[in-house]
Amino acid sequence: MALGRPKHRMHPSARHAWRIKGVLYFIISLIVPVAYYVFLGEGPRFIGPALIAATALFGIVTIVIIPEVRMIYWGYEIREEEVDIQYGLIVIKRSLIPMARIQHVDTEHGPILRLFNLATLSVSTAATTHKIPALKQETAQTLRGQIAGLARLSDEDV
Amino acid sequence: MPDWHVSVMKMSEPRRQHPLVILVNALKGLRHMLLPAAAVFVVRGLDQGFVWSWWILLAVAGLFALSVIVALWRWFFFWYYYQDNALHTKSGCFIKKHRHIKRERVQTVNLRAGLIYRAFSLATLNIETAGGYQEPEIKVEALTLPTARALQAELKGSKKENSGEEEDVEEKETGLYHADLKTLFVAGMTSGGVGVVMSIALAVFSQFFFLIPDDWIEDVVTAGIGAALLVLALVLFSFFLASWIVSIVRYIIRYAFFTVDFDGEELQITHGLIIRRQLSLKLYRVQAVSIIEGIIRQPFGFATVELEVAGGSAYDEGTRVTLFPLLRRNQVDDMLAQTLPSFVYRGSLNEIPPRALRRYLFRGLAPLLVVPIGAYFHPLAWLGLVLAPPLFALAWLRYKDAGYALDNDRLITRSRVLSRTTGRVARPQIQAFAVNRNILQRLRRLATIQQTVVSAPSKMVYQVKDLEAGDAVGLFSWFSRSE
Repeated sequence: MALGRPKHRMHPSARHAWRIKGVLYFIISLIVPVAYYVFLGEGPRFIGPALIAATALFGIVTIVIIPEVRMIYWGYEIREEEVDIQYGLIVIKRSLIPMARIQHVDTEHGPILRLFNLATLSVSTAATTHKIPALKQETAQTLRGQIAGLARLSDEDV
Repeated sequence: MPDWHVSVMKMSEPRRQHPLVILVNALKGLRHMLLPAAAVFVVRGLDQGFVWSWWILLAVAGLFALSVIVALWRWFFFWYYYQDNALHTKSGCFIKKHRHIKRERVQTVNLRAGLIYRAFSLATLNIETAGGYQEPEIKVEALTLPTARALQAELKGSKKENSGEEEDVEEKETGLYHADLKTLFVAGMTSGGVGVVMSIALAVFSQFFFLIPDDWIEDVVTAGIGAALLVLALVLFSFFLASWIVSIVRYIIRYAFFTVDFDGEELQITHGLIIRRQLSLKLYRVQAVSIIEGIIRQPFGFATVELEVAGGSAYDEGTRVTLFPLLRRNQVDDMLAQTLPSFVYRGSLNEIPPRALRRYLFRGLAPLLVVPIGAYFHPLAWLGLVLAPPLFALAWLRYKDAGYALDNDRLITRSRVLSRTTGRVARPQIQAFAVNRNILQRLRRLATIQQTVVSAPSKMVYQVKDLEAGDAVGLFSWFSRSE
């Protein structure tokens, strides 16, 4: 397929941040089998093991597979006239946002991202908002400045 | 009209609004207070029996008196005048507010007139400014029509030209489109608004269902299943018919006297029977043209043309404006040629590859997967299979209608959910362009494209599913400004 991936990938430590998030989701999902055994424990015999298997599968997906898929597919590139982003999980989305359409750029970082010195950069137009997650904080800051500068340059019309 | 200049000059003296505004605002205030009270009254009454008392009348009278006092107060302290190329308003007694809008800052000037104002040839002037937050909107109610028109002409006069030249603009105005009663009627019949009316009516009816006497229901039930089905069918049919008629009336009230005027740089769209809405729109705000062929209208060759419009400034919200409520499909381009020639496209569209059909059929028929599950609980659920042919037809149409075309710097996309929608967008107005693929699409070398423009609420996404992947990549590099 001729549509390559944008030049830059997510920062390698993003993988760890996503895995920690996955572990958190997994812990929350444990409530289901635990609640079943503690409070219900009735019904056909296969339900308990099935719930455990489902939870385990969910754990593998969120902790191992999703971070890997993201590392493989996600990417971004800031060019002089546009921002090029690829993201998504089941549906891989590739978006182009012209600099002239960008209205503002923000960075944000939650507690987990901060742990790894990462930040999310979001780029907004009059109609849409696009996120580049898990960049190094310094990179995010620089990019924010860079995009804001470029966007101002090409600000011709609405 | 020609001596508008004089009347604007005269407006440098502060004036009050026409006193009729007191009555109108008092009635509005009363309505706001009365509606919740009435709802409580009705619900209680149904529950515990209606108790009539003169106190009720007295309470209403009291509320009305209160509204009159408030409205009178507001009217008394509200002044407006036009001075130094700006419209000023002063309001309030304890907290005095002085607002002014400079002519250069004015983005849109709209006139609106409700039933009462129309009877007295009055209108309300709404002024919006560019620049969103800093300056508020200004609203002056109950102006005499000449005053309102004069102010409108003055405020929206082109910024470069100085006063005196606006008259030719008036003369250039041509009636571009006018919807007659027959058109409105056909449009109303096919508008699909019947669904909305039916759902509202159902919600209301379900509250009053208990009013049907029990013995009626017993009579029907004991008369046997044939009679019961007949009654049910009759009730459903008359319910549908009534809702349909209501939806037509609603449509006609909203779009009556639909007129589009065009003076070369600004569109004037006027419509409405009870509340007359007037909208002026500068052409450069138009982001995209949507041609919508409703599923009922399309077989008769009719279409609706809507405009996706950006707000006055970069930070304002967009809007969606009906330009032509009903038009023959083959006239759309002729009409557009007179107003928005850059959106005319008479060519054909590129189709999507036949191998996409399987995905369209699967997506379209997927809702039927719930039928066997339902049937597990109750065999009647198999009846759901009657939906298969229409769903199949719809999926087939979606496949046939999907298409795109590149025409210089414009991307035209067509797709169908229920109605067939064609979007025509020029590249500078595309806020973001995306190529999306899931795993199965990757395997079959297909891709979905999306172009997003500013509209209401906030955006309009034109999407075409399952293009040839190579075509999608071609569009991607067409949109890209590097490479």
